[in-house]
Amino acid sequence: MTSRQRQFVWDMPVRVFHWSLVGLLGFSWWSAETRHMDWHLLSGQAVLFLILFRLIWGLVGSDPARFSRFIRRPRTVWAYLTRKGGGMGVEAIGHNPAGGWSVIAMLFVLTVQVVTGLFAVDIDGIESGPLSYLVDFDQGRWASSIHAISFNGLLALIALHIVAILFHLIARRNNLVGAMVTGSRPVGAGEAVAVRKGHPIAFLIALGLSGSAAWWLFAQG
Amino acid sequence: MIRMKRRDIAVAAAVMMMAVPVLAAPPGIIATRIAGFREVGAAFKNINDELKSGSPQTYVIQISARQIRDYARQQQTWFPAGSGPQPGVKTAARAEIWSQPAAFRTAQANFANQANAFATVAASGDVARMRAGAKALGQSCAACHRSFRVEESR
Repeated sequence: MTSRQRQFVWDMPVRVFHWSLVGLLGFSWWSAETRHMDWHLLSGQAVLFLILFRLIWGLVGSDPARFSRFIRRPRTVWAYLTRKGGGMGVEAIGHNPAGGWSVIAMLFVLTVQVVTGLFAVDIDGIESGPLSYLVDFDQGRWASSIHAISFNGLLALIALHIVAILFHLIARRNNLVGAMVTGSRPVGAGEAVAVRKGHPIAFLIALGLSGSAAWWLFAQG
Repeated sequence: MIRMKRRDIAVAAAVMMMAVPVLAAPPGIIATRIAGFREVGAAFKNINDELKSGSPQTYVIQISARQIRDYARQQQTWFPAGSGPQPGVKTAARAEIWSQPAAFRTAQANFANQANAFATVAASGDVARMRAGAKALGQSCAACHRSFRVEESR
């Protein structure tokens, strides 16, 4: 065990983002199904905050969290999927080329989900998102239908995400969940490489911007 | 006897021909009620938008309340026999409307009463009472929809 080292992968903000999102999505789903709309809106506000934070953190966070590091050319993704890319090493820290696009797809659908929720109106004109006063009834109903359709898209992407993690766990003997919990994964002695981390001031700015934007948008209703 | 029977058949046929239009729903009644309830939803959105805002425009609430009151009166004629769910017909009306007519009529009357009461409260200009009234009105919508409407998932 003494010869084992830990490789830093996910910083604390990414991990807190990830697991908060897991909890909030479950809570959002439950509160919508049981028509606890006050809680559903609060949950949506929290998800909006998380998405905004993650988008900023993707620009200024630690290296594995950055879009510039995990958005890869289609050719790279293809090479990875057909195993022509091969090899582990620095490339393997953080999202793999296919996983990076999976993250982009999930962030995109989550954004659609939150934005349509802001404008959504229920069929009786009783429950509505905080910005629904900016649109008329039919436009609000349209936002609601997109909200419902894109939620199914989100569930499909989450299912794909879980299947991919299980594939890595079973076929590749690579436990990805561990690193998302502890922030690091075990590597052989001398294999760990230095990874640039996010600056605390960048973190505070990201937190402040996303927090105030999420507060302000929901204060409009 | 044979002549009598023929006459009976003729009378029965005539009665049936007259009865058929009575049993079938008036054409377009489903479209009428879908459009009508859409207007109620749109008017209620206007009311709730105003009540949620920091400075509610009471005239918007008053106009919308009168619209809802008028539709709440009309909706008591929107569910004639034969206008229920059947193959090829798109309606969220549940068969319980016609299998539990007394309960449905009570729910309809409750909506009409709440809509009347809300129009009166809106006319008074008292925003605090409007908030309470809008909540009661919304509950009369929800109570009926729970039992008699196919609920959408959104």
